[in-house]
Amino acid sequence: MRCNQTIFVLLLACMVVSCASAPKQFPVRYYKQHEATLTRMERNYSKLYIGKPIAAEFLDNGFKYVTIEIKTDSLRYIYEFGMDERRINDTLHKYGYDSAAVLKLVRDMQSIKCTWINNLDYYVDGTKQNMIYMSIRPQVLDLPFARKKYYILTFYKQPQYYDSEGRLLDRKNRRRLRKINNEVFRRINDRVCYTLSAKFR
Amino acid sequence: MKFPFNYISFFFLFIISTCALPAQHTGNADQQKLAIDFLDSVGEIKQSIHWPRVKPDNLLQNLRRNITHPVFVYAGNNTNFCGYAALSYSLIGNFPNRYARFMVELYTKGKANFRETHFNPSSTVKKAAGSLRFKGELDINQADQLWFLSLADHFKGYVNWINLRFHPGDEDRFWAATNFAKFNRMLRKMCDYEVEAVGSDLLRPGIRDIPTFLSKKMAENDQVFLYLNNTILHKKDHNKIRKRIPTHYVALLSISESNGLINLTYWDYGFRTLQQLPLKTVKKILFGVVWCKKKSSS
Repeated sequence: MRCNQTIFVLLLACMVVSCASAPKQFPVRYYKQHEATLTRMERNYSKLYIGKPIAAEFLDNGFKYVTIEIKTDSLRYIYEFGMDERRINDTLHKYGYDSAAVLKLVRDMQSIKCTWINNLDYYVDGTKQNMIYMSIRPQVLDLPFARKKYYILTFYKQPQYYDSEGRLLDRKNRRRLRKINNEVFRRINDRVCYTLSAKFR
Repeated sequence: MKFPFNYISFFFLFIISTCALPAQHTGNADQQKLAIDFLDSVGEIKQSIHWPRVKPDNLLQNLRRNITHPVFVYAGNNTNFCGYAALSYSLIGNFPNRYARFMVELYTKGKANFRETHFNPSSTVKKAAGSLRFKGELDINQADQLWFLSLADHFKGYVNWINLRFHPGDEDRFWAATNFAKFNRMLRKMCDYEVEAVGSDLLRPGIRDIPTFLSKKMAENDQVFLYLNNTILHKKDHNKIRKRIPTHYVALLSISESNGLINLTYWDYGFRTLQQLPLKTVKKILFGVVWCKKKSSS
């Protein structure tokens, strides 16, 4: 009887620990740790995206299969490739991408457990702006009952405005929080923000 | 030597994607011209007292864009407007003139009829249109905000019963959701279509050969819609346990099968997408099929 009680208490404790939200400084620490790779990815992705929109994602837990979204004027193509398949090179070449640069980006994603990279449009005073949106799936959040499993990092071209608590603001004057995918973001530096999310996109 | 199935499937996919896409809405050039002529004849519109946050120049610009390029209609990030967007893609493409006249009347008078359906949106909806934010391109498309909110305010299904009155933010919640019967009802009321459907909100339709069935429906009808489980089609997390319910509508543009993979071309979120999916996945995500034929009178 006592043994059952102990197991029950232990299970409950495990659930509570895993449900608890991750400390907010985790993404900042993560960013600092991988800053060189993240900055390189941002730079490479920006170059790739100009004129040839592309997005990449890893949908499997082992980061062995990459899904590439190729956007042309008329159609968006979604292909899944094994990381060691030759087909990925041929496909990218066929659509006019710099396949070496895409593969480098994808390998960087794999190395830092980045599940999704995309370019997102947002509007300020009716003017279109864009940012780079990266989702990271860190091991520290990979707990069975944890709701928020992803660090989301957003990279802007220009410095952004933040309130006194470091939350990303929509506009300088209005003091309204800007939400991306219904999440409030916080400052890492002038151009980079983070949040914790249950979804990677 | 391994037979290069991958390369063959790639070239096959490339050929069908470039050649076999149906020429959607091409038979409506006259209708499109009528709609644009109508907007030209309207000239400038005064700021509506009914829709205080919808600017008239933005409305007209957005209407023109939708009429000339219905493929760009965008339901917004994280909203529950996908059902209305799928309906709009077909409706604006096939009946642009009626759409343009209705929108201008709804804007100027605050109420209007679309075929036999009378729209008189609630005051909260009228105040909200034009103020939706953080929804991507929908932020700047005020006519689309007005249109989607009016549709969601007017058409109600059982999924809306728990949230019947609009409050700010409800565009992402059950207030805007669309169940299968409601989607079919909207199509029947808004379009001159003969609408038939198979499927439901909970159980998958018992279609034995899905590619053949869908190809046949595509060939015999003007428009085919699919009702899908979006948590598998557009995965947003790595959870192993997924909700087994449909949440998304797409307009089917073409379907073919090669090497056990389904090449599905569909319209959603302002894009045409070509995606290769295993047959097993298609069986798992497909909860409903709607096929529509234009009535001879239209």
